[in-house]
Amino acid sequence: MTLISRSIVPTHGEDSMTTPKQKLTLPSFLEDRLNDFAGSAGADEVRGLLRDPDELMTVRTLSCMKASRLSFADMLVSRMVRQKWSIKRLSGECDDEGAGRFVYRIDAGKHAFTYIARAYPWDGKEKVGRRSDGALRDMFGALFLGLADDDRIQREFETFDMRETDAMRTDGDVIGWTPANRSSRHFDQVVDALVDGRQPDLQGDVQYILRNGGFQSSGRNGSISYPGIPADHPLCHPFFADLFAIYLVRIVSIDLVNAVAKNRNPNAAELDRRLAARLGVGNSSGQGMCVALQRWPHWVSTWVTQRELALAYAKAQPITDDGREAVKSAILRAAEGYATMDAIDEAFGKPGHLIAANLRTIAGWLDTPVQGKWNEVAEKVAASMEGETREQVNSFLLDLVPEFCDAIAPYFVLGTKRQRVLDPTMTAGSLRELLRRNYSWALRSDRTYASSHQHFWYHSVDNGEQRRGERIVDPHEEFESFIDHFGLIQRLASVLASYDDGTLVGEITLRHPDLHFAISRVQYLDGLAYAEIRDCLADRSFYPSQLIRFFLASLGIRYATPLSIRYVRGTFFQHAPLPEDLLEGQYTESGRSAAAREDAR
Amino acid sequence: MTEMISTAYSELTRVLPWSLRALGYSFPVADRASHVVATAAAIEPQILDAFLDPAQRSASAGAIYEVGANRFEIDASGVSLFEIGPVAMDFAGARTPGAGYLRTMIEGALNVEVLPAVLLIACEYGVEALAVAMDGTDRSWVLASGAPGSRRILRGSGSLPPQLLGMLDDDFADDLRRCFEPGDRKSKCAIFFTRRKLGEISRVASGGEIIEADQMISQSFGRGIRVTPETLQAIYELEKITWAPTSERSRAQAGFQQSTGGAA
Repeated sequence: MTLISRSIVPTHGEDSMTTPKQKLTLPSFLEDRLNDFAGSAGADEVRGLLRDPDELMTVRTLSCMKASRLSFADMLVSRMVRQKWSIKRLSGECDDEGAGRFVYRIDAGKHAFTYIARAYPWDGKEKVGRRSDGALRDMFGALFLGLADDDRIQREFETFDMRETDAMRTDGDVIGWTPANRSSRHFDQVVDALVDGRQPDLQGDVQYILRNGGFQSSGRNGSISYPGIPADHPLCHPFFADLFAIYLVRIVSIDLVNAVAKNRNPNAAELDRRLAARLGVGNSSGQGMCVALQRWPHWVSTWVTQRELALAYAKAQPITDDGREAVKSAILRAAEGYATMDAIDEAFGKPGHLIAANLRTIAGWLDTPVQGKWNEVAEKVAASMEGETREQVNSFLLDLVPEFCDAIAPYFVLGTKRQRVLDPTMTAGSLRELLRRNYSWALRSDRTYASSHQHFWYHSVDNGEQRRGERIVDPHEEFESFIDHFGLIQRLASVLASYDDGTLVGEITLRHPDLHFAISRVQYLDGLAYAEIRDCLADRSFYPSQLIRFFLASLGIRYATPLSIRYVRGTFFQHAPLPEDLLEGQYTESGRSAAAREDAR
Repeated sequence: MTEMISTAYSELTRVLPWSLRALGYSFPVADRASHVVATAAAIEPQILDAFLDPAQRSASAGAIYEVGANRFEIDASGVSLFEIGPVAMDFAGARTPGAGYLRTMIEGALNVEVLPAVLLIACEYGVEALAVAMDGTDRSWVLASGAPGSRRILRGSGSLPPQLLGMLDDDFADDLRRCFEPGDRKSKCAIFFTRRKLGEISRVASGGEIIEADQMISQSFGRGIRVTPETLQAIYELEKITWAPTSERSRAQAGFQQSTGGAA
């Protein structure tokens, strides 16, 4: 059977992808790895399969991206499994209402560090789980850089008990704090069952007991700056500290319900390991994530470039029976997940049942042996299915090339270290050439329409959380957050027009200090085709939830659900291994713990 | 006595852009200045107190520039060195390679305590910078040298180390000597730029203080910068000036809104 038919007319033509009009360059580290794996001729083929940034880097396409083995949570779990990290509870005490203290020791390779958690009794308030909750959380945890002694631990607990945002400070011993909130309904449901001596029914929507309240780290509250974490520390990697802290909240949530139940009834049941493995940590993210993506476009470039390169490499591989079976099985598993998703407004994403149906159709294509390369499957999917289905299948294709993914993964660290430094010796002529080559999409944007930059974003009094206002109508525009890179580039181009080609950039910034930001951005992103988002976030039609979904997928959340224009919820670490699985080494690439696999049978 | 607390470099670079915007700076200028202030604080923590001195607050205003072959002059007219200093380094980074050496004179700038941090920017461009601050008959000097990752500051007061003058071309040395001659009483700062490796004198110079700047910045990422709670709180209070009440329209967006067709 041959999969691809050139006569197929795309049913969703606007969603299909093409290769770029001009050859894309790769950072040298990635280029070297590609040549190591594919050789010179193979590398050319792979480069030819890289997707066109004009189509890929739109908000619409980015919002379709799905978690993969190159998402941060997946890479972290992979490291924890490979290195058999040990997470031991050293002490744990709590009362009937869930007020308690827990202390853990983590051994990861040659490093050992402490995590502590302070749980508070239920105060009757369901919290949203964001910065606006302030210090009144249902739990606070602290992840230390190393091992903390009893005095240091006591001091941190006392800090938590102050419960006053402005007064709570830590120091450089701590990587960050993990505020978290209970889902009171889920908590009560699980505890009540255990107290009754039975296992809770987790078949419904009970996916977590605690919700992530936003990891407070890298200088927040006095914690250590990320660049201060020693290079050989296992959490010295983008987002590993953040995600491991969330993982620990998951462990606390399981220990907490067991401890409370035991307090209420010494004969209470203990949460079954198979059920515990199903629990993750709830998460609701807001539009501040979009601001981060705009501020650090080299992050975006690093994430997307790696994913796209791995995808192109996978597409260049021949289809084998084993590969076909593996992809099919992953697709069918995901279809189950999508089928149970909450309903969402179709303005924010495709309904889960539609994606599930699409995935089952694609699985049907893979029922019988197929010849050719995976690119042919990917092309057929892209031509026939909507964007979310396409990107979900693309994520599974990465599982076909695990060694290649591992080989390029160090670039997550290297790419993030790129610095935005000005080259003052560049001429205005060369800078103009960079703008023409890399920013034609921004320069062609028609800014005469007010709708093209209608929204400004600002810090609200809700603890500085990001909100959107309308220009002219809402106050405080003078303190808007930077999100309008179209405006930035167009202003730079217009000022540059007044300078001769030979004028040096350092001479221009002397006259226009505010242009340093724009010029250094254009310079340091040159050569990174997948860095800039090619839609304007200030545009009236932009929904923050679209880019939040992209960010969450990059972190590793699956089945994220947009709640509104500006909030997206999801669950971290469902079916991730438990500490016992890590020690027993019973975890496979399928993303399920041994207990969960057993449960599935 | 107030108990000191620590603030990490990243905490400062997160909050200071907003604090500076509350003082009237635009986003790009405040963003860059926050790194200058954080670097200055890593070297000398008490500058954070000076930064909060109401008398030192200024918004961007019209500085006046005059550019010649091997020199440029800036009448800052009350513009902060946060703003004028980094772009002066850009200019020096652009012109010094072609000119051999370059001199600038800056008058009337505020926040001169961040000068060492400003000079370190020149090192990012492969240029070393020697500043002589003139205040009446008082003279102090600061040399920033080294490549990113190993930048150092050598500073002192009174006359320059003779080894330094010995390393310079005649024109450069003559210009430098003139800074130490009696002159007008205005406070100003002369900065000399060169691609020569002047930092080598730090091995032989006496009477100056050597500060391993990049090491101190690195330590400030880990151990933090000592600061009084009052100073840190004041920085955060400035930030809050930039916060706005959430508008009703924005509140409405938090709810599950029906699609309006994309562009409505």
